[in-house]
Amino acid sequence: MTQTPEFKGTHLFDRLCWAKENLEGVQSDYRVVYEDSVDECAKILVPDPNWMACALQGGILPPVWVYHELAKDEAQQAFKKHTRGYLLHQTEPVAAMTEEEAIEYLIMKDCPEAVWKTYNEGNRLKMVVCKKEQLPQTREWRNSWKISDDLQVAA
Amino acid sequence: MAGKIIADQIQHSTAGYLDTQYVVNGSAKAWIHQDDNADIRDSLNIASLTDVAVGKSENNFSTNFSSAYYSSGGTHNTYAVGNNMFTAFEQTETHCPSTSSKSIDACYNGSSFVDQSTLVQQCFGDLA
Repeated sequence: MTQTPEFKGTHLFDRLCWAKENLEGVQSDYRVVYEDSVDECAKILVPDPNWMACALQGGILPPVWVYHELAKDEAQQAFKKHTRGYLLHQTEPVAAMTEEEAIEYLIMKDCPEAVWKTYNEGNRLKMVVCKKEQLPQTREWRNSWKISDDLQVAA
Repeated sequence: MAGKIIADQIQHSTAGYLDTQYVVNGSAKAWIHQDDNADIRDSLNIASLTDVAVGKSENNFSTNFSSAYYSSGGTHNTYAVGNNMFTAFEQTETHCPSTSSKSIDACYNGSSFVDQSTLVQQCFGDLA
């Protein structure tokens, strides 16, 4: 297995370039289906194969809270430019994840917080993790896709 | 990293010289090549994509851009409907560009959206 260099302090973009050169992409079969508006169809989050390779390798990606901190900064009214980008590069990278842990990380990174924090509250599910083959096999009626009401929240 | 060359300029034997800041500032900091099932064929600096609806997707970056004022370009396969298609990058009041993601839409004559067998996007700018 390829050994990850000591990356703490290395710009995250440089780490990604290293990963692209040294790691084989991993196409995940997992998909995250979520709804963040009652007026819109369901959205599907698709993991990137190069990113997934980094997550499985470990020692490359920053902890997910770093992205939350940057999002907080960006949400400020007076935001013009990130001043805490160093968090991406200086924070100790996370260890190797399983594919399932990587999907959880990705949900917290790229799904709206209002969705993943309360996905099983309310009258119906707002988010579901499934396999690609569980999605409709054609994109016909894509703009009408919704999470099925028949799905039950796991106990 | 294996090694580092620090230089402000690079020079060709006959074609002149170039400031290395052009290379640093002018290189794409993120790119993606996706298909009509919203599967990612290859990419750089992309963590995931969100399949939003027909013809609409959003690319989520691994490394944020420093501000929302970066530049992006893209293109797509136009085999289905000839020359009447173009790609628009949505920047409306309800969907402002963000340092962490960028949307890409494939339109038909500026009205309805359509899925494309190939959709590519490149983003240029300063990283956080």
